[in-house]
Amino acid sequence: MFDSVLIANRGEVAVRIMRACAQLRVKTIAVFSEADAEASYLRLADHTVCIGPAPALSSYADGAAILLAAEATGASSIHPGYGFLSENASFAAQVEEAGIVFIGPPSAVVAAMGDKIAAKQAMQAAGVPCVPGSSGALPGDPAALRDLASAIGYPLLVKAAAGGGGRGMRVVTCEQDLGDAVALASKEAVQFFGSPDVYIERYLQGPRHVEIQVVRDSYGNAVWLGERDCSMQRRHQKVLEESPAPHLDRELLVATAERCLIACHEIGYVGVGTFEFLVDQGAFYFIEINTRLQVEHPITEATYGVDLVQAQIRIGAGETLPWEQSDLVACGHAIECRINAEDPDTFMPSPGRITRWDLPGGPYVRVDTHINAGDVVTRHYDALLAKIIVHAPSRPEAIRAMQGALAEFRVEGVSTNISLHQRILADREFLRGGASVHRLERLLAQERGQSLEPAYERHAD
Amino acid sequence: MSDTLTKLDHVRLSPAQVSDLASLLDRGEKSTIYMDTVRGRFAVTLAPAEAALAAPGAESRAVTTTVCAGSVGEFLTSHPQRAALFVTVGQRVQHGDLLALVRTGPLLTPVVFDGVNGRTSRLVRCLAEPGALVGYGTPLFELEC
Repeated sequence: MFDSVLIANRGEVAVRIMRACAQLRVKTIAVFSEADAEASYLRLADHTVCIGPAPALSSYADGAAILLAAEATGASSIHPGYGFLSENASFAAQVEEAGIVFIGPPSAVVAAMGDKIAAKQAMQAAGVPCVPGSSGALPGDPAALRDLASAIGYPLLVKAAAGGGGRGMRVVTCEQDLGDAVALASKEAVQFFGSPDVYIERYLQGPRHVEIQVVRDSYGNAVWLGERDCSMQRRHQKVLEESPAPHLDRELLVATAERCLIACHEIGYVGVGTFEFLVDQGAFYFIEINTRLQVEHPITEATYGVDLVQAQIRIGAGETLPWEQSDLVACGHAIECRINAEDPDTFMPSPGRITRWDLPGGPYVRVDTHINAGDVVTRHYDALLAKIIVHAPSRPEAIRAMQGALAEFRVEGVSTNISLHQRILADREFLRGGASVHRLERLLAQERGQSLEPAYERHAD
Repeated sequence: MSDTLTKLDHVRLSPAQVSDLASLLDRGEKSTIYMDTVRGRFAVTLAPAEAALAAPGAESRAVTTTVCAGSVGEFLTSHPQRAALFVTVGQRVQHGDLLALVRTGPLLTPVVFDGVNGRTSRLVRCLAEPGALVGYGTPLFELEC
C-alpha cells in the first residue's frame, strides 16, 4: 500500500478520498487554493499545502502545480477525484513519468477513451451496443455526407469528437439542415475543445440515462456493480440519481454489462470506470466511458455494501480486486440528491458564508459533504455542498426516506436546491419510475407555465 | 482604480479583518489595516473624506511589506551547496535581490524581492523556518522601507 495519497481535488470528493485513506491507514496530502485556505474540511488531511490562487487553472487544474506539490511532499500516489484533472490524459502521463502512481487507468487508456470516436470504435469491437452513427470522422464531400446521414436515419445529432457536457452538439431533423449543422458544430468544437472533428449519430427522442459501474484490477480480474439511473438532469448536469434503474430489462442489462467487461479487457482498463448508456425503447446505446470515480458512486456503494474508493486505491497500489462477481449482490434501493448552493428557481450560483448547517440523519440516510457551519462557498468552483444518499429496502421507502431527509436539512447563509429535489420527488412521472432525460426540463418548463419543445437535449457527464 | 480592484479580487478577508475594517470605519478617524497576501502586504487606509484629501501620500513613516512563496517546496535561506545566507536580518535589499530559494525536487525556485516603489528596504525578520515545507502564499520575510 502507498505511504501517502495526494488528493488533487477539493471539497466533497477530497473528504471522500480522505475517509477511504483513513480506513486504509494511508496518509493524505490535501492541496488547496487560496480561496479554500480557511475551509474546515482541510483539517481532516494529514498534511495540507497551498498550491496557487483561487482560479482553478492556477491551482486544482494546474498539473504542474500539483506535480510540484507531489514532489515537495514526497507523495507516492495522486488521486484526481472527479472533474479538474481526473480525465486529463497528459496529466496522467506526467504523473506516471514522475514515478508517482496515478490512481486511475493508465494514461494511454484515459487518452483513448477521451476521444469519443476512438472510444466508440473500441466499444463496437467489443460488441457493446452503440447509437447508430458515423464510425469515424465525417466525409468532406457533401453528397457522401448526405448518403451517410440518410443511412443512419433522421433526426440526427452532430457531436464534437472531443466534446462533453452538451457543447458542440447540434440536432438535425432534415437533410437541408445537415451541411450547416455540421459546419456550426465543427466551429464550436474548435472553440470549446480545440479540434474540428465531429461525428453524427441517430438522435434518440426520449431516452433514459443509465450507466454501468465496472472495476478491473491490473491482473485482468473484473466485476460490474449494477447500474445507476441518472435521467434527472438539467442542462446536461445530473441532479438526482438512483439505483437500481426502475423498470429495466434485467436480462438485457446483464448481457450489456458482460459486454462492458469484455471491453475493459480489450482496452486494458484498470480501476473504477463507468459505461454510460442511453436506453431508448428498451435498447442500450453506449455514449461514453468515464475513466474516473463518479459523483454518484455512493448509491452503488449503498446497494452493494462496498467502498469503491478504497477498492480504487487498493487497485492503484497493485492489489488484486477485493471481490469476485459472485460476492456482489445488490439489495434495496438507493437515491442520491446533489445539494447545490444555487437558487432553486433561477439556478444562479449562491456563494456566501454558511451560517446554519443542520444535517439530516437517522435510518437509511448518509450525507457526504465537506461543509460545516461557518464555511464559505466561493464562486470559483462548482456549487456542490453535499450529497444526500438514502438506502432503503424498496424504492417507495427510499423516496420517503429522502423526503424526510430533505425536510430535516436546514441550510442558511446561501440558497440551495433542496426544494427542487422536493419537487422532483413529488413528480408523478418520477414516482412512476423510468422517466426520460427530458423529464426534469419539462417539469421546470411546466412550472414556468411554458411547454417545452421536443427537447433537443442530451446526456450529462 | 479598476486595476487595484482586480488585484484585490484574490485577497481574502478573514471575519476578524472584516470586523476590524468595520470598527475602523465606525471610529471615523484615519487608520490603516495591513493584509499579508501572496502579492505582498496590502495597506488599506481608512479616513474621513476631508482627512484623506488633506494628506495625499504625505505619510513618511516606515511601511512594512511581506514577501511570500510563489510555489510549493522546501524553504532555503542559503544555497544547498554553500553556507552563506542570501540575506540576514537588518540587511538592506533592493528590487531584484535574491532572498531565498524554494526547492522542489531538483528544482530551485528563486524568491526575489520585488521592491517597494524603487526604495531599498531593510529585512526585519524571517517568517518561515529554513527547511520547512512552504506553499503558494506562505509569508517568508518581513521588510521595512
